[in-house]
Amino acid sequence: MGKSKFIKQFGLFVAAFLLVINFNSCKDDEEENKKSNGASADYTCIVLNQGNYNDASGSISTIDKNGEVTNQVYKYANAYPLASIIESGFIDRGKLILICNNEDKIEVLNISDFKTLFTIKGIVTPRYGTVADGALFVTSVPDWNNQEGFVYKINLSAAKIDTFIKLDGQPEGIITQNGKIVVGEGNKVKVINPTTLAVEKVVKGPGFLSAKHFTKDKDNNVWASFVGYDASYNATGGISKLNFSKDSVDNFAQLSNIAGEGHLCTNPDKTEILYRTIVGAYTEDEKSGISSYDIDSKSEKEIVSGDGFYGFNVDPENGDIYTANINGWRTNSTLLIYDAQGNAKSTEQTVGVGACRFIFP
Amino acid sequence: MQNRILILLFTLLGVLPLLHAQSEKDSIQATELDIIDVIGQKKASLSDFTGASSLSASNTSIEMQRHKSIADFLAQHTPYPVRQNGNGMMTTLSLRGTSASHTQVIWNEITISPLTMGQTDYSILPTYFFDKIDVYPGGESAIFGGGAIGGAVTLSSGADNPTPARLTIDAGLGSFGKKSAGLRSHIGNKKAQNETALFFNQCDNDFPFSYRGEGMRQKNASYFNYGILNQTNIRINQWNTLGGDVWFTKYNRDIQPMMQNNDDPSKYEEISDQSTKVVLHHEFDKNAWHLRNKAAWINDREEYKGDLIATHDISFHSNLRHKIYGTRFHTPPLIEIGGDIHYIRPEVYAYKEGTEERRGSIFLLSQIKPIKRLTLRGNVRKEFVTDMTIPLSFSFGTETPAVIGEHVQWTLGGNLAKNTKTPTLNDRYWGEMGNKDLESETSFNLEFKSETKASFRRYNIIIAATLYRNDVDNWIMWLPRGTIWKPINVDNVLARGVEWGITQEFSIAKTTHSLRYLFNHSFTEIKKGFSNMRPFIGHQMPLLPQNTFAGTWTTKFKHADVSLSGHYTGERTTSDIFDILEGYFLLDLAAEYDIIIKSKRRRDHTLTPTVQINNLLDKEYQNIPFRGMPGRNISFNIRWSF
Repeated sequence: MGKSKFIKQFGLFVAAFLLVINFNSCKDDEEENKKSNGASADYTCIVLNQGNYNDASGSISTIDKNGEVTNQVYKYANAYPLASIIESGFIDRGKLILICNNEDKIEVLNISDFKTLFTIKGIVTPRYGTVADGALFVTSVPDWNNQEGFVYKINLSAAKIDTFIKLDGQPEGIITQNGKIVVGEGNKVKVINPTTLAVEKVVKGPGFLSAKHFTKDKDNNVWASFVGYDASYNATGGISKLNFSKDSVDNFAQLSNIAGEGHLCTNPDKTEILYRTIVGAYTEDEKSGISSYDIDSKSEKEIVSGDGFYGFNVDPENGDIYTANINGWRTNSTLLIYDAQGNAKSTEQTVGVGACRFIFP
Repeated sequence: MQNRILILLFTLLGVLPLLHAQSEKDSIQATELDIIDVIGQKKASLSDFTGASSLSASNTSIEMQRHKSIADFLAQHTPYPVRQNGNGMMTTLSLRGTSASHTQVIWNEITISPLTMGQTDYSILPTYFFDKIDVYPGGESAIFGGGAIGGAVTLSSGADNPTPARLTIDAGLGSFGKKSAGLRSHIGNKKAQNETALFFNQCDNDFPFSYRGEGMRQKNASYFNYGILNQTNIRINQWNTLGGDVWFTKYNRDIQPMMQNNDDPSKYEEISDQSTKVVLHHEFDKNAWHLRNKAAWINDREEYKGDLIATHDISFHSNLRHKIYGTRFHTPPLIEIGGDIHYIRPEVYAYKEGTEERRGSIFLLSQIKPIKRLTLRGNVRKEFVTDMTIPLSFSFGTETPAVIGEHVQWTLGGNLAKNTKTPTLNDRYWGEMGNKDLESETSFNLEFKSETKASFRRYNIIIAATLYRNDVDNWIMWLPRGTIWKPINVDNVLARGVEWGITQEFSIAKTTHSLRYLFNHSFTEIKKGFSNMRPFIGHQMPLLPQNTFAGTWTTKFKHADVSLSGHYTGERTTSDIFDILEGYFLLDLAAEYDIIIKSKRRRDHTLTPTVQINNLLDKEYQNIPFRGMPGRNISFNIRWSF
């Protein structure tokens, strides 16, 4: 082969090689359209995925009546990712209210299409919320190193912050009871007037334990979780029925292994209070579970045991328990559904990162 | 689609000279094949024993980007994914699908990867200090020391150049309030040499970006960096040389907030990093024997929110190299034995008082060429760490020219390495969260490479391809346990992929050209265990693009240099498998011109103005989620050398 012919063939080979490489290297562009799409209109459960703080990867998934999961619902409804972590959320009169951190904001969405109606900013590290008299009340802890926090009142019609009250502790869960705002704060529960934001009552909790979250039983009594860790980092605490007339708690029930965040929900007839448990915290053998406390018989029982549970809720229609293995917050959660007796009902499906709340519209 | 067109256009640029070569026989003239044009004589280095593929930066590239960090350099010139937490912010490197802490960073044979975190922040390593930057993907901890599971980055600088005295002063201005200045001096004679590099960089970094369709200007992202490196060599006699190096750098930075928090002062933070390194070294070089002894003290300090994370690392290193003459082999076998010992005292607010660790290693490296067409390499290292047993690491490599023709040489090679990585100090000692029961991470890296060199009178080209497979066992990851996080060994991750590159050198008329295209296709997946990452089983690991590309076209014409660089990062997922970050293609242009000022009495002076336009296409992109990156920006620099 002559030298010039060799160079020519060699040149053509290199040219072809470069072009092949080019198309191979961009193959992933073609798959851009293979993404999730909008939520199914007939969803039966909204999953709020808290997300990873560093990635601000909070997201929304929905589950339809056939058990099919749709992910990234917010992103495809609004053309942008949420860009926050979801601390909590609930539905109020056709609106899904998301309370988010990093970016600190409250997003109010239309539950039919998940499009953002408006966004409230200006509250540092908002935590939980409740609605009373058409206003949204939100707890906030700007700095976990300081024993102070706030409750903000937000005018939902005007989409702006009305006013706030500074508290001398770190407020967490919040609920509306008989037109008043009930807030867990340290080892006490405060009752706040929704109009004046004046603290009207202080209900003391048991011992050193922190008041966390609330639920209501069949008789519309408010129950609060009081949870903490002992010196050996064992979760300890229980639940109490609040007695607002005596400014104290009734029936403090010490619960085995109740988990530190103290989220509560009830079964459909509101005779049992469900809570998350944790065993072997800080060890390789850590196990989590969901247990219930029977209000009448004052007994507790484990419903289901597993790995990596965080948020959970009960479907008010059939008593099914929705939870997820959050897989160490590293990546997506694995959705788990059990019947009221704790029997697995679904094949494992993947939802967003840190599935934390399950809302039944 | 846009990315595809851009890469297509860029790669077609590389094809043009070939077509030109076919049509105009005499227009392309020969140049010496000088892909790696590094100043200074070649020093004995541990990397002499690796058979794995490597990437070396050209001196032209380094010189044009003196005031950038190694992070910017790696992002622009290598096809490996870097993760930038913003412009000028913390940057890590992932080699062949491994984690950031799996790459060992070595300066003049001394490991400078942080002992606490393990992962190097390349944004606080100044290009200004170095004459040579090499990347060794693949991992070979028998050579580069424990930790090189994914690979190693070696940085070289030195005062051992017996070149005439020279002084270079430079100053620059750029977009977004960027200011820089530096000085590099070299004085000496055959007996003693001293080299000094001094720099400062400052930037308001208030670049515009777009978030949710709204234009914003970046806040809280300014930085101010300065540093000095002084290196001295004194030749005691014919065989012995003594020397000392002092390195000091200080980086004060705001921490660039996420785009959505740009207007929220409650999210503004700052961080300060300081590093002091003092190295005393002795070299003995006589006939076939070469002895290198070093004593080093490295003090790294990071302050964040009033908390201090610092380490003192006092170490001694000794390497004895011998070339064995008088054998029947084609060339004399080369062996090197050595060892190092470290006393490490951390000052970390979260560690128990009095925490300390001792580490050491011994190793044997060898290279044999029994016949002309066969090179064999074998290396082994044993490490010792307080209260831990570290497995033996070893590597074996071979290389053989399959075809040797008049114009073409085709070489095949392979490398097998078992690598280890000791858990970081944070992994072991971080308060209640540290885990002293951790096992060291290990990996098996297997690679095959093919390299074809064609050298004609008018044109030179190298086409190289490497297939690799890296199995990492006992991968350490921090996972939640109750309300705290603990480091855990989490089983097996497999990275597989192919890298290929094409480098061409030629001249047309009075211009000479160097083109380098590097492609990396890597698929990193979880194989077993790792239950916390199960949604990713069978999928690419988060934030790792499968496809990356880096290309640089450097042209010289008389006293002018022009460099056009393209870099593509393919789409990748965030930690959410359903959340896709778009791929992006960036184009950078740099040009400089040497103005020679003749002097009758003294040596000529050179004045070199440089202009750099980064992100020429003004592409909006995110390297990691929600961290804004600048669009088109420009910087000017002027360098005076005499």
